[in-house]
Amino acid sequence: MIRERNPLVVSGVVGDVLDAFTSTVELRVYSDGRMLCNGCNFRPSQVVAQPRVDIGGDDFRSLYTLVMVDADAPSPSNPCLREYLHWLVTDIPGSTGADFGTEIVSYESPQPSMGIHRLVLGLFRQPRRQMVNAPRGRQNFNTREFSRLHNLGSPVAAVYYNCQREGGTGGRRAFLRCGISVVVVFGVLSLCLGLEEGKVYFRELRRLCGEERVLRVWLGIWVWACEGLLCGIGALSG
Amino acid sequence: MVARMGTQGGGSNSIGGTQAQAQTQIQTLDPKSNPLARQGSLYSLTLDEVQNQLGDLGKPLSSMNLDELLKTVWTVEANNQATGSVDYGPAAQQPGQPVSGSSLNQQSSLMLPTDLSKKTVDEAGVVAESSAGKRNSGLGGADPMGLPQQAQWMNYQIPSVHSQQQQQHSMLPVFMPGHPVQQPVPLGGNPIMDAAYSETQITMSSSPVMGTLSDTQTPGRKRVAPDDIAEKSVERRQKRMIKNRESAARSRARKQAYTHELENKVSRLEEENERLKRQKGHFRETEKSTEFGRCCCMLSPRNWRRCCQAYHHQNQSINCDEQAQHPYEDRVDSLSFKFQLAVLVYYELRLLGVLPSRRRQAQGIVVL
Repeated sequence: MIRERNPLVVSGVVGDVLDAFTSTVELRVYSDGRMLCNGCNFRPSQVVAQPRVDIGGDDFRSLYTLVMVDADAPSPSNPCLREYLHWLVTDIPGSTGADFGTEIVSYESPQPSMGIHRLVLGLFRQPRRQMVNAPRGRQNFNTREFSRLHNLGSPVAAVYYNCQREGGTGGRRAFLRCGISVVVVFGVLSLCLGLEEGKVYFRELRRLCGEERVLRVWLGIWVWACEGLLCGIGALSG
Repeated sequence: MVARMGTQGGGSNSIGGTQAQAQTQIQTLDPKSNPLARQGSLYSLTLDEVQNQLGDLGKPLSSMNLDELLKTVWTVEANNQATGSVDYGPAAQQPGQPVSGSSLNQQSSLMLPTDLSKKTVDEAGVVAESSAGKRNSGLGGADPMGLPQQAQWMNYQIPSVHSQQQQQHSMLPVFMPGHPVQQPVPLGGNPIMDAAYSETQITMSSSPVMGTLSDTQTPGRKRVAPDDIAEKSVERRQKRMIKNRESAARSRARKQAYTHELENKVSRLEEENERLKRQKGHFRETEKSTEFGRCCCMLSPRNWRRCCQAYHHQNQSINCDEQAQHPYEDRVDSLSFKFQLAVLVYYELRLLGVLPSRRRQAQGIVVL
């Protein structure tokens, strides 16, 4: 068996997102001052802004399409929303950058909540200047289908990087802590305000937290509660 | 989840037709089929009841349907380790009832030949699904233990909240109370595993869901509570193990990909470095050799020495790799070198009296 040395294949990008291809055009992506290489790690804070993309090639007349997808949405163990589209730019002239193209789907910074996600940037050569309709939604985007639909053929370049949540990926213990903190907060609120009031406040708090950051917020509350408890115990004893 | 239940309902309907046959067969073969007749559903049978009934069943296995196969093999195995084809593919579900008969456990032999499994695959025409086929192939060579077959038969009624591929991993001997749960690695059909388990399923909410669903699908089934809980916890553990295995594989792939990328990068950079070094050296050499060759013969000793020093100085700077140079620096140096050479040549020529000067012109000396 030939040992596969292409990082795109080993990591599963070729297979899950793209078909096998040979790289013909140079693709350089810079994010937060660093150049992207396959498999490097970026935190969400480093990829908040649109990365700078420089395309090789030597011909202004050839046009390229850049697609950026998350291959592991919402989590690598359950990629039911596989290929969440983050960015789509078409009509990029060769040897320029993504700023010179037409942005069909604006850049959305990755915010992985669970697991380590692969963010893939694929470059396709367009046969001609073409009008591309924005896909219906970012979820369940299929790069292969898109390429087939618009006659883009196989990609001419690709790069991918890994991205995970700022504070690590959480996991089961995080869920447990989250659950405990929820119970604690609810208990405290009920004690202070009475059960009905407590419920109302609790619901408000949950709504404020929002979907994506709920885990982090609850973990924060949990940490704060633990600290408070420890201080209280310390004060009582000492 | 609802879709899966729906398909399983369809699947069970197709099996339901064969169940009737099975029941009639049981009744014809064994007069003690009262529990079956009373309950009216194959699902509600306990292993013990069926085992009692089919104690002396013969072996026209190819003519039997799925349920019959399972039951006959089960009883055949229990009696003596006669071979019988076992179709444990599609019917494999999570452990259901406990094995009350320890004799069964003992007889669940590790000696079940693998060709038995292959035979099973061929005869699995009753519920021939592609997933079943995959599972069979995955399991055929990797299942030395007869226990999973117990589990399959037991788990026949379990609702398919979980995807069918799950069943491979849950076919472990989990319902043996005194035995440690063994998680054989051979059941590593990870690529086949449907990673449809979000992490939320592993939390506390999963067990009540499973409980209610099993209730809806098997209303008349007898269940023993503590064993149920035990089996569910084991299930959960297995699921967790599967997920862990998958994420470990992913993390290995990630690390390997990064290593390859770094290696490629290093080799590319080394090549470029070599190329640039060669280019720079060659560039300098060509410049200097032509100029030097032309001028050296004409220079006076002092200028010759100066010229040599300049050349060596330039030459040494090529070998200083650590200095990061501006891309144009070597060109600047070569220009200065050329200028230096020109200056030297000029002085030489003046010394020689070759260059035209006012004095000489005034003196009327013609210079050729």
